[in-house]
Amino acid sequence: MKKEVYKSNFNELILNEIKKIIPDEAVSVDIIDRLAVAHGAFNVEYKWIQSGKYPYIPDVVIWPETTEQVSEILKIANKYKTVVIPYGGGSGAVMGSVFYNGGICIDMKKFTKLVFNEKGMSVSAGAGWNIAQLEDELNRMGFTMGHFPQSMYSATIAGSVVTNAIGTFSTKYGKFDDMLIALEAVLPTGEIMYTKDSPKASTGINLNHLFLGSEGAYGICTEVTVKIWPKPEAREYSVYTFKTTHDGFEAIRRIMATSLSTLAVVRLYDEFESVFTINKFNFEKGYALLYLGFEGREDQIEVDINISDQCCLKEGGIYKGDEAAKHWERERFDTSYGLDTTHLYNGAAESLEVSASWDKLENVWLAMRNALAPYAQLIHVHFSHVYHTGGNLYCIIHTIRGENPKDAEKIFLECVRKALDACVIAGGSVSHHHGIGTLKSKWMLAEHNNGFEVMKKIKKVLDPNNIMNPPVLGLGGEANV
Amino acid sequence: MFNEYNKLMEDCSMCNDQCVYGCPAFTINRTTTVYPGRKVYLAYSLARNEIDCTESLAKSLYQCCSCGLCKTYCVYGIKGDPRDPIPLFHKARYEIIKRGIKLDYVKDAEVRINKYGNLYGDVSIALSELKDSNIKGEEVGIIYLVDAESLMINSEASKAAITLMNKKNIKPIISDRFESGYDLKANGFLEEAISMAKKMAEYLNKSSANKLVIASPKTYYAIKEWYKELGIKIKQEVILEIDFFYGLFIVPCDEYKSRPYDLQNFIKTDKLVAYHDGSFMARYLKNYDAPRMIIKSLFTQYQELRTNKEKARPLASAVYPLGISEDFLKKLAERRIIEIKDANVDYVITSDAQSYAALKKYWNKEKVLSISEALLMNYVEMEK
Repeated sequence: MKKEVYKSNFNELILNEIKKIIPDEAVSVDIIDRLAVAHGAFNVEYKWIQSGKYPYIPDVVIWPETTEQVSEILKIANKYKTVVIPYGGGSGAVMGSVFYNGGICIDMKKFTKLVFNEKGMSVSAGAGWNIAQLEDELNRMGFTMGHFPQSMYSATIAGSVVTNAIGTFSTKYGKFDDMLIALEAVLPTGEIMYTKDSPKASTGINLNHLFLGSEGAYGICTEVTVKIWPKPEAREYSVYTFKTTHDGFEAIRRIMATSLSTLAVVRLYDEFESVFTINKFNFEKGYALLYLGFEGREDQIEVDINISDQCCLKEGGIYKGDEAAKHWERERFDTSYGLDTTHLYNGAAESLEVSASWDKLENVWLAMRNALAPYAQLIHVHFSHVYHTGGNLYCIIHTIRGENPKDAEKIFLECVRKALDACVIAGGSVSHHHGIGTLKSKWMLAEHNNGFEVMKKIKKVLDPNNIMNPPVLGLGGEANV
Repeated sequence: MFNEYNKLMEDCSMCNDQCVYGCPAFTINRTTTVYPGRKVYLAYSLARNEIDCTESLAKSLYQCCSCGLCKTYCVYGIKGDPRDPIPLFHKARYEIIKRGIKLDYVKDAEVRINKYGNLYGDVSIALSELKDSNIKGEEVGIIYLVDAESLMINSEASKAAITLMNKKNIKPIISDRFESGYDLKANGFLEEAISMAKKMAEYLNKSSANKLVIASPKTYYAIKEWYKELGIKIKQEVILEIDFFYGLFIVPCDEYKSRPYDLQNFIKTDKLVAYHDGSFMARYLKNYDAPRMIIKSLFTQYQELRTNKEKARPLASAVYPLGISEDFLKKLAERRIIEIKDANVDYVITSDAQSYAALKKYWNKEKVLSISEALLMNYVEMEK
């Protein structure tokens, strides 16, 4: 760590070269601008704020407006072997934009191009579009992206590419890798590349995947083309309780095997996380809770609700109307509960989202719960994205121990380690949609085996000077945990 | 420093920034530096002596038009306890000025305050014209307060209001004081603001009037809410102009219970209109119904704009836009005008001076009305 992080240690030569291609007002070494982009939204970063002077900040912030400007900045950064980290909405939850060694922050939010392709059923948006604002624009024209991540009010659309994100209505609209059609990106050495907007092509490796989940390590995504859908006619919910979480799993597996076209939301809460809702709505105590959400044509929804109802009843599900799910819908962007814990001097809360195939998911669930039980004050688990072959597990951890922010950080990171070790042993993947960042990079080898070496080789070829967000994904720098 | 905002500074410095979705400063400026939560973090850093008080800090803290949308979209608001960083920004501006950091526009503002007692400049001619328009009726103990902002940028709306009062045989006293102090407080001139507020209270408390009708929602908010915080009392019953007209014209008779929205003295015009909720009406006062009920009575067709009530996008800065560029103000208005154009209305009616002026400047002069102008346009004399 640099001794005086609040002073910019940036080389004047680099600055002068950058100012030849970018207007003066789009480059800043002022502490005001550098401090503003220093953190993401993970609790450890908040603990650093709480502790006093922020430990890691960039030396310079740049606000480019064109892909060509990004290209030129990266060429200069390569010439001087300077670290570059692109910055989107600042909503990342895995410490994916930590300026451990200072460097250049490229704030991407001035990329606001918008090209609407109604016939092609897609929209091309600049990297910096706030997701909710982009959705508003599409709604104005009678369309939706169907992409509603909990961070949509602060995150950018390119942030969804580089974390390979997902929204809460994923069963109908897909994961972000299903939504993404094409992109424009600048490679670490400054070359600009595009992918085509064909719906599918058998023309070699799909290079969209070089950037999906890339976290800024393989270049900077400047433009994104995604699918759009007509705004749905209707949205309906069904709620069921099940004697056990296992019964809920079985019902979901049955439902997923029937491929219901309007099924958009599937959320199963285990017996522990269900407690609050079950008390609020006076459902059977000790039961698991399932929300099903449907979007589309009313007649199709009616058919799908009947089919899913049969699947649930076969597994002992008890129908509970729709009010509990509507309550979830109204409050689904509320993250204040976790923030309240994190704001305690000795508290920290955050979610870990992992995934596994159906045959392993229950084991992962038990393994993570049991691993955390001696360490975390509160563990909430739900399963909020499901597929034909498996699903995601969302484990929300609250720890309130120790004396100060430093203790809280240490204790929470220990929980992360215990939980993810357990996940890996039980056969799960350590991240479903938040990414790896520097938080989870330790598990990359366990996650990919030899594939991790392939990733490193690609990184070395594309980024020979290792300038692009080096610590993330465990590719080029030290992991934090 | 900022001790009263300690909890807010912790909460907003360490939140998920969901408020940026609504924030016009971010949407137009597009830097992380102007996120509401990050500006709070900068104020927090200043309070903890982690950063110096500089011109660039001052500039970033002036990048807020006090519209209140950050509170609307605050993550803590989902369960009903939203945080409001705007008073902290106002206080931080004051602290920065107090420490001698004065940007050019702050220095200019200081000159205007010293010379004219407000940020808008010389409003004496507008005030005199307003008084000249107050020609008939009985003095019934009403004092009518038109603030400097309204006098400077939409005095025609207040003239229409006076004409309406005169037609109902009311001749109000026109207030000689026109600065509540709120715009000054918002822009960091706290001591001058408190002094103005005290002078306003002294003036009003000496008046013989028992009712104070206030043209501007912002000034109404200042006198009803901010003065309370300052411990300043006003002897009059304080009424917002729209509520005053609502009370004046809504038919109270039993026979009209079946159609309670009808107004006496007014015809209905066959036009499609929309109402723009200004920041103070919508978010500070949460007054949605009175203007809508009046408007729906005057026109045959009414259209809600795509964002409305508490979520309405602003057309203009909610307070005097010190430090906010002309280009910013144009883009701010244009974002709202897109929604107005989508609605394809004949008129847009609004109740605050800044929104009214922005619509006239950036949209269409002929299609903008204040509530009082809309009432006057549809007014007919009753048969004796």
